[in-house]
Amino acid sequence: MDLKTMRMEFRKGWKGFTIFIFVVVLIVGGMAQLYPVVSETFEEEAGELDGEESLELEFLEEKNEFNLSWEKVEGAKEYIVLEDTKSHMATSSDIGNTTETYMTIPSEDNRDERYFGVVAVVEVEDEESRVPIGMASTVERKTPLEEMMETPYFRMFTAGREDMRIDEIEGYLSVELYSWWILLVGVYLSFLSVKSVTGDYEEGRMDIIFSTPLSRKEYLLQKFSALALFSLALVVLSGLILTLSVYSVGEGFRLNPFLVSIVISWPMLLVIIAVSIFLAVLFKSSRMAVGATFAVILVQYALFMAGHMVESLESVLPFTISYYWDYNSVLLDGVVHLWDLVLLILVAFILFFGSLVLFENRDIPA
Amino acid sequence: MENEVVMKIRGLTKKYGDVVGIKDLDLDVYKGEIMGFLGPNGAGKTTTIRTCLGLLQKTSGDVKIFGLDSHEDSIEIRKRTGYLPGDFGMYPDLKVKSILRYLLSQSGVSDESKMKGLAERLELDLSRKYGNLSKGNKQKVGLVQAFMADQDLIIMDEPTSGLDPLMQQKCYELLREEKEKGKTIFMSSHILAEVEEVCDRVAIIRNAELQVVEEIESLKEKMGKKLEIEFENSVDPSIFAMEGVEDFEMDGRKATMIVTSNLDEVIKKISKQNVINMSLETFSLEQLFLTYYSGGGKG
Repeated sequence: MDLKTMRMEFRKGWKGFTIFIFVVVLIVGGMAQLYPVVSETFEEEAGELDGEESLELEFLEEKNEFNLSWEKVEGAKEYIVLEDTKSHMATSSDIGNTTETYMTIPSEDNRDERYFGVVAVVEVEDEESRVPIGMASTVERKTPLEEMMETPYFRMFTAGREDMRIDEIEGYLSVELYSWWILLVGVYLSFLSVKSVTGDYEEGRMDIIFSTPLSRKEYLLQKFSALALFSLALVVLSGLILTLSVYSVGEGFRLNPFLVSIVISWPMLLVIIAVSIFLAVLFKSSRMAVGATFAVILVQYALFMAGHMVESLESVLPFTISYYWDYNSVLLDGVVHLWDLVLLILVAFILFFGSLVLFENRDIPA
Repeated sequence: MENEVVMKIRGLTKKYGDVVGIKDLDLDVYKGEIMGFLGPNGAGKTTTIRTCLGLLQKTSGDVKIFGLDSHEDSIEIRKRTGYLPGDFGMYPDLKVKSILRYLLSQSGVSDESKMKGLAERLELDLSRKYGNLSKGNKQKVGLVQAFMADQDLIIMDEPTSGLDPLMQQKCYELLREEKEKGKTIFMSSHILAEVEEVCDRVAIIRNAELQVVEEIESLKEKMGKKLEIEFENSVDPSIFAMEGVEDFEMDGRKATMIVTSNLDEVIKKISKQNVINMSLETFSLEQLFLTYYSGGGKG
């Protein structure tokens, strides 16, 4: 196969390609550079609970219940006991009133993390006021970072990995870079891919190109190859820059996992290129094809995020592209899931084959 | 003219949904001729050309070029065919030379001498970026690329569109030279003078249907001649009432008529009168065009 059309793709597109690689590499390198600054903010110690010295929480094993007791408050008419699952107590509910200075609370097997607060109701000159006495918890106090990592919102960015620590470089990059890599790279790559075909339609080059003895198959194959090569260069360069940047912040020179995890996003990018070319051939118009391709990328991304955030949506994950690029297994476990990558490549080829069939039999509008 | 058929179109129909682009077209283009394809805008000229080249799928019919099927053997056909589209673009950021080299190499030609020679004749600067060229200069790039690979058949969709009159003449020269070399040219146009000047035969289409295919000369003959006579004295119009004389008008001592046959008889009648002035004019394609396009047709 001669590669003239592929070379032409690089000649006409080199400016866009270069700027794109430059921006991506800048963001990738910059993210690792920010790590020391950001990781400092995660070092905040676990604070004490307000007024915990005034309360005592005791677990009575034989009765399987807690005994919560507190210091007597002068003039207290009664005491209100509140409970929440978080230390901020903002979503607490009232679990009982008493005139005693203790209360027994049944243990619940499925809940081990409980926060209690006690408020005294004091009557001063016929006016009731509530005076907080203090708080107690069934668990050790967590750091703000630990609390954040337990929110469902955060689970979207860890791709479901509960063992992730974002105060370590792997976890930090997983959340801050890898989790949106498909948007950073995929969106513009899909735009370039769509344009490489629809540009020839819209700028009237198709007639000229196909006045030469170039088959439609070869034309698409060379377009695909050019974009595949370009995206390979993009992931290799990004991976190298990331590795160097990680090294420069004192986290060691480790091609594995940093280069490897980025490079294995290539099959995912091949799927994006194939989707883009398919839609470009289908719609023959940049506006329609770019819109449709962006929709595919964004919807699959939203599903991927939602699938990790909401347990009942987990079943949608295998239908997303992102699911098959398991960077976390490389970053955290040092394992590459080869079959996932093979599957992505297979999907890319099926889509590309679909584009060939479609393009072969379609009118080229004047 | 040899009678070897280079393009053989039979029953070609192309529909876009319910819209008919071209309907049941039969046409032969012979080796070594310049065939004009004439019709108003939207008549189906471009559709025909692009279907023949395999850019559009045909709805029905059969097109053979060099005896090869227009769609099955499209690549083989394109090796021997140059094409100038009616509306085209190229890579705006690249130099004309790079673009032409790419296209030339796609056609498997490494000799750039014809490309350079054509550019020189058309006064086209190959070192300029395509995007910076004027419409006329872009058209020149199109012309160069159609001829540069020295192919046997050149198909052109309105080749002189956007060119100034001087360049139009150069284009006609090029067409004639290619014809001299034995090349076959099939060109669409809506410029009558152009077809009259360079074409051997013309096919006229209207509303997606072929109206007539004729040699230019015989077509003009069939269309008759316009005769204008100024007599010294008034003449009895009835002396011209004979077969072959149409549209007779008498304005004082001045008579005009269309003579399609019996010219000898007409001249003899005139010779019996005292004539001050007389002109005999071949019908222009302009008139022919109007005749065909306004419906009916005399051919």
